[in-house]
Amino acid sequence: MQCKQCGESLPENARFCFHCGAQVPEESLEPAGPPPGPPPDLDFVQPGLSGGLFLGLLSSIPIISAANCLCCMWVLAGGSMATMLLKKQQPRRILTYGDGAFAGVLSGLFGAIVATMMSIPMKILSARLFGSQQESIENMLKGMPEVEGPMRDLVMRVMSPEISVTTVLFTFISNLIIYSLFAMVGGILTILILNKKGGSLQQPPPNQFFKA
Amino acid sequence: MKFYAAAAPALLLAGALLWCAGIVLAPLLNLRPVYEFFALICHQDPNRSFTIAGTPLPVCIRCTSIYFGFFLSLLFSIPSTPRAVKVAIVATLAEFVIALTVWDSPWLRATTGLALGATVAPFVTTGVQQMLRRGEFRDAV
Repeated sequence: MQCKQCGESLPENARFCFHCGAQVPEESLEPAGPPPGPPPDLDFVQPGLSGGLFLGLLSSIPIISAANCLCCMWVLAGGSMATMLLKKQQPRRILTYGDGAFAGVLSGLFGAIVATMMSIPMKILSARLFGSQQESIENMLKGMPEVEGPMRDLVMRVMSPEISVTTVLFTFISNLIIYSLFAMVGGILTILILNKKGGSLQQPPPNQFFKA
Repeated sequence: MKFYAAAAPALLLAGALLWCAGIVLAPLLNLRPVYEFFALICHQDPNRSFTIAGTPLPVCIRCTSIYFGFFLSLLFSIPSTPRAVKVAIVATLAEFVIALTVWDSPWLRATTGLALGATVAPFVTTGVQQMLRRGEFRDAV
């Protein structure tokens, strides 16, 4: 924009010329833009998919998946990752525990699908590696009297090359429940850590049954 | 959705009761599916698990304590703060390192696990209520 009096260039929406002080006619001013609207809704799907892929893959790879025995580490991490990706969408926005919970649940559900799908080729692979060693595993267990009853059955089942629809279905349903619950907790804990001060909920109300 | 949000504390308590009951009943009734279920989330080392009638529980001492702490917090409406949760997490991690390096105490493991479960429970309740109240599931589906 240019000053009509002295011709100096002026920033848009300037009301007076900085050089000569002449007032800028009102018709020269750009019309004000629309008032800022509410912040855009958060997209939960993408963070959920990313977190789910992360936890599903790491929970399927042999040896690495053993970390889940440490308080479901990969599952908690998947829920946490989904929540942090959610936070990245709008860094200034204070997320609620419900936001973290939902992101975690979505990542857990998707992670369960990924983990179950990955478990089938992993089972086939382990059958080829361990199938021929089942007898030696049984002999090893004979020397461990403390492993007996349902524990012994479980060890043999894990080492077994058996793949059945029942096994896959049981694994899938178990993963759905466990991963969604623990990833939800991971999301909630992440919100608790991210909201350092002035969080949307400083202290939760005491638990009260049937109170909205 | 509003009903589920209002009933969330009761539903969580019922779920926690079922979860803990499964852990206790599995060795008593020789429930193999329960052992297989918990095998997904726990190492189930019998040397690091409580026993009932000589049979180890389907989860280790730390896991058992966390779950029972969670249940007891819901049952008695034990309040919590973000700082308490952070302290409990740090204590659990510290106990983990101490157990690996210096001193492995089942009762220290149980205490830190109980504290962790108890401090986290109110936040999980609040998170579930907020999630259900906003009808997130309805919008997503």
